[in-house]
Parts: sequence; C-alpha cells; structure tokens
Amino acid sequence: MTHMRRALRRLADAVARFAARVMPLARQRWALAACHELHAIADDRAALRWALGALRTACAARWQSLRLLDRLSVRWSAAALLLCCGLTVIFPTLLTLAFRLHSTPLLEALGRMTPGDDWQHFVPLMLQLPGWLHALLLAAGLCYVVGTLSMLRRRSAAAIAVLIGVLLNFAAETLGRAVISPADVVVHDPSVLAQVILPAALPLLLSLAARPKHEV
Amino acid sequence: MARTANRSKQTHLVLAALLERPSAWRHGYDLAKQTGLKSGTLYPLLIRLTEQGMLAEDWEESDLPGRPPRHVYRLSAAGVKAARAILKDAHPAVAATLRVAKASR
Repeated sequence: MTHMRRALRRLADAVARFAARVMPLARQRWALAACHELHAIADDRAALRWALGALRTACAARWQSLRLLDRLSVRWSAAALLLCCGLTVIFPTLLTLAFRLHSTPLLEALGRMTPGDDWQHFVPLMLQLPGWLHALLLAAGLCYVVGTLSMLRRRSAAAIAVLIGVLLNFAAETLGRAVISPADVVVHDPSVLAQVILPAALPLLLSLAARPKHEV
Repeated sequence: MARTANRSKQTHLVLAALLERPSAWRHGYDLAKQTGLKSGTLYPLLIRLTEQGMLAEDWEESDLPGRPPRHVYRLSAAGVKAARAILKDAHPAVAATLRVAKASR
C-alpha cells in the first residue's frame, strides 16, 4: 500500500514537472504555481489528479501559443482542406443529382474525379441511394461549410460544426452500407486517413487553434 | 457578435470565493477545494482573470523548511468592483455550490 502511495506521489511529481516544461515560457509561473501546490495536497490520488489538471492547462496553453490560425496562408489552406472534405461528403449527392437531371457535361466533369474516371460504374449505386441518405450527406456538407466560415472568423464553433459534420457523415456511411446491397455495386473502402485520422484531427485542431476566449 | 467574458458558472464560483475575503491572499488548492473546481479548470480561469487585471498574484514563502513558495491570489481593487458587478446577476446555483463545498470541507 505504501509502495502504491509512493508511486502515485512520484507520478504526480513527474507529471507536474512535465507540465512545467510544456507550459510556454511567458506563463511558466502558472505551471510552477500548480506544481508547488502539490506539497499542500496530502492525498496522493488527489495530488495526481491535480498534476494531470496542470498538464491539461499547460498543453492547452502550448497549443494556443502556437497560434496555428494566425497566418492568413494557414487559414486559407485549412479552409480549402475543409471545403474539400465537404465536397467529398456531398459528392455522391452531386453525382446522383447530375444523373437524375441527365446533365451529361456535369456527369462527365464529376466522373473525372472518380476512380477510373468513369461515372457509369456508379449507376447501380446511385439507383440504390435513398433520399434520406442524401439529406444526411447534404447536412454533413453544410456543417463543413459552416465550420469553414467559422474557422475563417476564428470562432471555436468551427470545431463543433465540423464535429457534427463528421458524425453525420459517419452515420450516413454506416447506415448507407446497411441498406445498399453489396452484390450490385462497387463501394470503395476509404483510407484510414480519410475515415479516422482527418475526421478526428480536424475538430481537435480547430478547437485548440481557436482564439482564446478573452481575446474574442 | 463578441462574446462577453466572465459569464461562466466556474468564473462566478472563483469570483464569489475570492470576494468572501477580498483582502486575503488565497492558495490555488484552497480555491479548488472551496469551489469544487479541478486544477485543469481553475488555472486557466486564474490566468485569464489575472491577464484581465482582476486578480493580483504573489509568491508566499512556506513556513515549513524545504517547501517551495506558493502562488497566492486575491482580487485587485478593480477586480473587487468588477466581481461585485458580475455576481449581481450571477446564477443562484453559484452560492449554493459554494455553500455545499464549504460544508464538505
């Protein structure tokens, strides 16, 4: 039991020291303040919780100090990336719309963005996609657009909008796979980057890169 | 539209706790115990209030040998005024939370 307590206390000390290293120099005294408070906390578990909180504060301060979205070029690049994600999300709906409207030039233009440059591969898929799925995809795409605009204004709402977009897209893909019969259509499995890494990273980055509250 | 700062319940809790004894220097852990806030919530608030000029901060030497100095905080003169104005419209839950936290200490 004593070993356990000693280990917890050592871990708390190590976490607090690490928090002090992570904290930007201009706010170093705040990390030291949290670090020094550990000596006043008798309970070892509480000390560890306190140190983890200090680490969280230090990490957030470090991210904010990076000022990721301060550069106009970075902001516009991020906007382009977000709009590409939004376009990818509503692509099946756009293609289906062009198909239903018999708009051959648009179909061919969109087809050039598909694997094999041939939209006709997707006809069986377009015939199977239900209306509610398109509605979900459009809502997800709209969230990406709202997220892009909020991001350009450096609002923390950008992260929420993109997160909702990611979740709606995930729901549409999951439900879509359940209703589409796989024998008739070719569905390409998206990469881990597109399916997991980007959707998880974008809202996180946007929330951390947003302007600090007191500057809004 | 610009968001108004210092409207969160957590900020109200910290301001109310500091306003109880405006001239006394308070330690971070004591404030955390009184308000029920975790350090990950408390320190960003203290940093923000200090940068807004509402809090004064200092280091206090420990009475016990070998212990490092502790960071202490209290409301500045402008902070006392601002805190009173902010807390005038504060949610009643803030006072209740402070009472519960005080009773459980």
